[in-house]
Amino acid sequence: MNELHALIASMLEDRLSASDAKKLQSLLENDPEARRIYAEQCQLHARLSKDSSLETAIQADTPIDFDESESVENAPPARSAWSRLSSSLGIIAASVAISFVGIIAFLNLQPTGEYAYPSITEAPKRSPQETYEQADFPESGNLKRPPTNFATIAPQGDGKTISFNRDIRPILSDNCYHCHGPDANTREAELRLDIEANAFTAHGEFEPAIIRGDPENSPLYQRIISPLKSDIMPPPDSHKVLTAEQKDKVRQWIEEGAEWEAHWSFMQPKKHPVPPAKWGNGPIDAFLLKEMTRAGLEPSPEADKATLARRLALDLTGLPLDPDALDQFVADNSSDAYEKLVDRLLDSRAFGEHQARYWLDAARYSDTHGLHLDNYREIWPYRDWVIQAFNENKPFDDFIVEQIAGDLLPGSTLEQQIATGFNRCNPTTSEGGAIEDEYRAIYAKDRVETTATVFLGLTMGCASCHDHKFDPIDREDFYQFSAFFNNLDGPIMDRNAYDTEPVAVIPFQGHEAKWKAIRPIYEEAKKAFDQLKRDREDAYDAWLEAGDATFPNPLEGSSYSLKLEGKSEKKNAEKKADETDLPRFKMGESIELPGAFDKLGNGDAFTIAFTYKTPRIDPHQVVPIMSKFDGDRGWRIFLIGGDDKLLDRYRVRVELIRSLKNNDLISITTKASRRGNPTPNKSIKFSLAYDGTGKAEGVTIGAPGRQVIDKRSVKDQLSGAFETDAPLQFHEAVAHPEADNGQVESLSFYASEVPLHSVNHILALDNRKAIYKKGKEARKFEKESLRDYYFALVDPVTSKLQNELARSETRYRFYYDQATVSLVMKEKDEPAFAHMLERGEYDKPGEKVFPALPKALGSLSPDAPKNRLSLANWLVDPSNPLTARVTVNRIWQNFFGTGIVETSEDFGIMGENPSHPELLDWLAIDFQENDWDHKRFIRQIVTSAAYKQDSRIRGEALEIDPENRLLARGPRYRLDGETLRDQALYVSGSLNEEFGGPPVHPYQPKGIWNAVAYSGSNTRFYKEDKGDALYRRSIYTFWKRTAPPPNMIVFDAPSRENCSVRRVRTNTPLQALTLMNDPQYVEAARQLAQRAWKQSDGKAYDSIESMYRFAFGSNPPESHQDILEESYSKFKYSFSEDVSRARDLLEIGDSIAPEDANPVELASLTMVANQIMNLDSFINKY
Amino acid sequence: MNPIDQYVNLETRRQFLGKAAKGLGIAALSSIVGNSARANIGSSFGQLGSGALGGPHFPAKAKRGIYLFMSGAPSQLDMFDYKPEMKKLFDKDLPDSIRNGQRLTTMTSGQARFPIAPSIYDFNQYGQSGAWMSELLPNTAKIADDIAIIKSMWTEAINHDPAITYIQTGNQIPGRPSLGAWLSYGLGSLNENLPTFVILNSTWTGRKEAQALFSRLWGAGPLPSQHQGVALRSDGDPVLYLSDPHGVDRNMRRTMLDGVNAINNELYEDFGDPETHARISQYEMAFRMQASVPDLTDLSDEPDYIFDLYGPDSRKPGTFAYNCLMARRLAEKGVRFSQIFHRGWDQHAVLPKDLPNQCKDIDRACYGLITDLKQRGMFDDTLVVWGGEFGRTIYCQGTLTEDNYGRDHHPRCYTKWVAGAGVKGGQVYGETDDFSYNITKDPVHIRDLNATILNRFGIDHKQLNFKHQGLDLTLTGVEEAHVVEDILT
Repeated sequence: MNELHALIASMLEDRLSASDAKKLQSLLENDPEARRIYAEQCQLHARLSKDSSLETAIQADTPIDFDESESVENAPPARSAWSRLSSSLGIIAASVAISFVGIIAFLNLQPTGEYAYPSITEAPKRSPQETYEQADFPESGNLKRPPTNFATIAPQGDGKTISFNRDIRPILSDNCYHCHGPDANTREAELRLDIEANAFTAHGEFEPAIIRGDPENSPLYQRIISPLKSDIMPPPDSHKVLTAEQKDKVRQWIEEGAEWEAHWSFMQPKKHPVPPAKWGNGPIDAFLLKEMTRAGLEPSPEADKATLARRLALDLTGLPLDPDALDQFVADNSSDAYEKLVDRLLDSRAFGEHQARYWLDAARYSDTHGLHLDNYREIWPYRDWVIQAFNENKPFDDFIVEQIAGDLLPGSTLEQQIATGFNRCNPTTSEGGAIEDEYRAIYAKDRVETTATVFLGLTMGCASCHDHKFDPIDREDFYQFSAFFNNLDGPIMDRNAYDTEPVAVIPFQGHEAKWKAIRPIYEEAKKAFDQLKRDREDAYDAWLEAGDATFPNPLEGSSYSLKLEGKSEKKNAEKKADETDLPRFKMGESIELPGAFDKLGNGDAFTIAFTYKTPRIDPHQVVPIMSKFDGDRGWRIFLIGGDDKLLDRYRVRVELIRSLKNNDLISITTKASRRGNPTPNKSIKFSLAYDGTGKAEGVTIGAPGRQVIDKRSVKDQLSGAFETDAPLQFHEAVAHPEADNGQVESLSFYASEVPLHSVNHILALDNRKAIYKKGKEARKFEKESLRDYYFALVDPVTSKLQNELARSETRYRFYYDQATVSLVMKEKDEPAFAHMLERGEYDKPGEKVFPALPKALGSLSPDAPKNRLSLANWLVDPSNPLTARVTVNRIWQNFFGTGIVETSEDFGIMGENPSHPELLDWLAIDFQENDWDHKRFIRQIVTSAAYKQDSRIRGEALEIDPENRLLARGPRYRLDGETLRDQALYVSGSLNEEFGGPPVHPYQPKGIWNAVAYSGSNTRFYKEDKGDALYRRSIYTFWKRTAPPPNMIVFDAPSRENCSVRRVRTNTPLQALTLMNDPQYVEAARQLAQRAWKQSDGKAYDSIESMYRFAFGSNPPESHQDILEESYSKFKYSFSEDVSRARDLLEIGDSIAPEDANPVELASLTMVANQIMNLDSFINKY
Repeated sequence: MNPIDQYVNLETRRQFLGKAAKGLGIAALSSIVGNSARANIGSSFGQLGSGALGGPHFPAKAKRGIYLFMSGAPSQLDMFDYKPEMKKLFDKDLPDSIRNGQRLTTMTSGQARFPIAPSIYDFNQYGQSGAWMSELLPNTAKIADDIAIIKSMWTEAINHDPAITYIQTGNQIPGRPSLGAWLSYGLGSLNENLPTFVILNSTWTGRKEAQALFSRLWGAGPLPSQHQGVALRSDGDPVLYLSDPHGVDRNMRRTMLDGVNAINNELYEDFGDPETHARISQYEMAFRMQASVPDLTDLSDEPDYIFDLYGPDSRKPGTFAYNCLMARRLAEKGVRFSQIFHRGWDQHAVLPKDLPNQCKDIDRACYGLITDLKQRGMFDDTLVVWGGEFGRTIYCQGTLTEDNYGRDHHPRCYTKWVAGAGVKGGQVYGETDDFSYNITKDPVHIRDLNATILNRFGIDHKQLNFKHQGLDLTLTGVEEAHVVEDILT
């Protein structure tokens, strides 16, 4: 123990030798008591040295001379013991350090041991993230391997050892730019180290910071090595400390002449000459080979044909090849066999579906709004547009321009408008108390951030509160850029509606011509009518001021109303008095109507209006609501369960019957639609108006309330009157167990046809009167309904026109409600602008600014309109150094797993430098020179020798290049969640390859949505589809942003709450559980088993081989076949013991297992299929 | 190597693997391939025993934490922040000098007046500290000396979605890592069979129209997704896809995995990709979870007196009380951080009807949890936090009567409490004015609270960060945050 204490003491005093370190390590590993003592000592030490400001001031390798003004407070230097150990012992100690981390981890695990401690592992020279990245866990769950160190393996530059961009700028930006960078507000001493001119010249009272070739006289260098705490840079309170190595680099750089380079990504790409190469087939390979060779690596041989074909098919289409296609390819010995396969796959429809997936992450595409209620939003036509654009190989510059400004293109087409959905995919809200200005600012920031990330690889959002700390973007740039997007002609609050304006309308098939004709008529009429209302505003005010206005009711004296017994009275006391007198009825009973109303159907016009609380009923179930019907003659009203998957709407049927047995009747059913029809468990106002003509077109159905829903006349063959003496019968609807029975809550008859637009107002007349009395006290929405009432029924001018408008609206709504909409961008009439918000806060608007480009990147030509179209044109202009680079990099990443610039979202100063700068430039220029031809670029990648390499890790490759950044081997990494699911469906033969359309709802465990959803949200309950829709490609799965599909999220799919251009790839047990047990995968396994079993005439071992072939395209190696056969025997043995278990397994999923198969064998094969689908090789692209 | 040797080698390995597959499992497999596979066990939910930080920055007081989140914003005025003067001001207008032009939600900003609604509940003082609590919290009153009540919490957000996103992730805009994800990332896992960060959603009996939750509230943001919270469900599989399919038993799953592992090992030999080994470990951990999670969530081994401690609701799956008991079990088994969400606290109207039910849901269980932790000796190293995303207004929303009122959102001050892990119990921290409208002493911003929570775990909030898009993300954001030292021992 004495030895232990001595060792700990010398460690804490920073004088532990390498051999002693090893001794200490071995003591700690072997003796729990030693660990306890060690823990105590270190904790004590940590407590004693708490002063953190002192901590950072002390440099490991420079003696500290304190200013006379400062006193030493704590005698022992407060640096963490640990970092002292590693810094003083250099590399040897560092390697021990890693094992110490292990010991500490081990200590943490001991249930009885002291918990943690802490400061001994603290290493001020490494950020936690660096610690994380450099930790010794080569097989870590998140695929974080030690990064490839380009500084040592791939030196670049022109012979000088130090390169400014590679070696110096990262030091300056990390440590200095906060106070000496672009942000004017935090700048100290007027010194900028991000601008060459400023760094090398005197400014004000200050000398030049750097004198070329002379570190001894360069204040910059002198300050970073200063022994004085008051003098040293970075200052102690910044908690930043330069390493000795970094300081040496700065010195060396200055000695070598301090050559300055602009940040690489802001410079125009240059087409560097392609290096000569003896390997590969083109510039990609030549550039790659150069760096490989430099690092001492050699390219790998080409992968075998089957492997290559699988890799290619998965990369291009997200699906594997089927065995026949693979055989064909393997057998094809022609020299261009591979190229033919590439072309075939590029031309397949699955290509676009797969490529679009990546783009939708970037566009933060989702089928819900994303905030608060998170209701359904209709924008899937944009998703289909993206898929189509990839399939049609739309030139990528057009692809960009149309998404940013398709609506502003001359003669903009419907498709081009839909493309602008890119900027409408952002999360929006309609939360009760939300403040519009605040969300206007939030939306604008989101659009700036997304646009900047996706096209420019810049983190512009940083500049909303302050000038960017690192990149040349100031606050003005941010707000000028945001002004491009700040002119949307639509509301800020999304109304929780699926169709927040502006929207593009895609008419239902066959409606195109009528929609085209009707839409302008209605819209113009509406515009004119709104103008008229504005003109009549004075009259309305006068009516309000009068205080004793009349409330015209065209039906006064000709109505009869009754009310459900036991229905609770409305809270409003005034209403109560009016309503208590009404006659009562009960559901299930029948009543006699008085006089004239008993003779409804005698040829006169009439209207029935009622409030009905809808029950929850099954799809297509027909439920009677009420009837006056004697068995052959009379009228009836029914509710029909809807089949609309998205919004669960009901339909209504009305029958007017002279004689049922003679088929002498009118029968009308409303059309399924999403908006006009009622929803379950809600009190809905219905109306039925009849003009007495005996024709179906004389019948109008309204529900809910004023919303007129469309009708479909099933039978229109009434020959005359249909009145009957039968009593009025109220039917009790059979309710779903979870819901109340359907109830008619109140009911009124009118002896004339009530104009539809006024039914609602008439029904709510008392309410309108009450609002009128409240006057100024009335709430906003109350005032609005009163205003509507005034213009509909009171105002002598507008009330006359209202009916015509209502008719036009009825027609318009008919087509609109059945149409698909897609959210789009549309400019307001006035020019765009934005206010610079102080500190980014919406309630502190400052100077007004107009759309402009970031000053450091370019400027619009003076005659270019200041709008999104000019922005879009600049994005793809050859003078823009970023867009093409960022684009090719992101596409590259889809094939090799990592971009040439690893931080594909950040090409700014804090982003990673490219691994192959010359190649990146070459690709970017080549891409632009070839008209941004997307498929051509992909063809270049996949026909490169680099792409075709075998992915086996040979020799020292893992040590030299663990992340495969140099690409001396083929890519091998886990497939995304979507691809995994699609692949499982595909190999099992159950993939439904239907294209596009509304999102679908495949298997999802119960309660995922409900557990988190707002109770009033229309995406609260997940309704699983049945049949074909369960097997669609994953890109069509409904994406609810606040509770995304669990079997995608578990594989690192982003939530789509903001823009994401790069997915991490983790490896977790939850993924294993999903692939083993998710019914989608279990059913797919069974379907694969069935498929193979059929093909092999029920022979078990042949079936196994055949399953393997479906899965991988090739025959299993003998050893794999053996293992699978052995498993099969065991499964078979287990299932034979209890056949019911086999049947249980086969019942999983919506599809039905074939009855002619032996359940034990099929179940056993299903388990083998489950095995195959969980193999590392199935889960990976390799 | 000649083909015969190759064959012999292959056979030998196959035989060995065959044995391994018969039950040696991962230990045998890892011995074939060296230590790397074993070293990886537990990395699935963060590095076992350490994390990105490689250990805490300073001695940690909390080994684990349980966060009782009251979603919707409980009324501090009716539970903790006693304002006796208000009785006299019933239905009087809130003085402008108090409101001071502060912004309101658009739900009440249009109201013609802001009449004061005093709480109708009786308050009493409890414990040695004499903390005030209302009659709605008879059991929480019993632990008054164990908890530190902070009456001076505040935030800038005034609506639910941004506010709850803010307190959970340090930013009002979605996309940042949540508190639990930060802990998982920074500190790693304490066990090898269970997730590090667990979410429990509860049923509630107050206001039916409850605010939504969002998976982002326990999301990992740009951190690797293994750090996101795993929702433990009370209905169906406790962890998604945990159960084997119908008809498949443990033996068959073992057989299935043995085969998969054997082939994966061949693939490793062939490709040399270390990820393949990581995958083998993950499958083994999944297999262990299939056994350990149902054990954990099966409460039948709890004695009756424990259920009595948490109250009768604790026998009903999915209730807050049940989840509190579950959280204690999780804490015992080495889950570092669990967060229980309880919804329905958004009392815009009919507060006297709904609030008592809400309090009843949680009151007994809070007492039970603290008491249970104490009797197990876990209180000193378990941090418990209670509270919501903001507070409620003294003025009434809607119609005010003697016995009925509602309250709008109020971010300027509200109450939370913290306990355990070296938090000084029996104290009330911070003061508000007579209207519980403004803080008069010791304001605690939500990011200060978050800094304090991290502090209990031995983390300096400034030094737990993650580089993303050129920014050093932290839980507490760019504004300065301060650990509330005064409430700590």
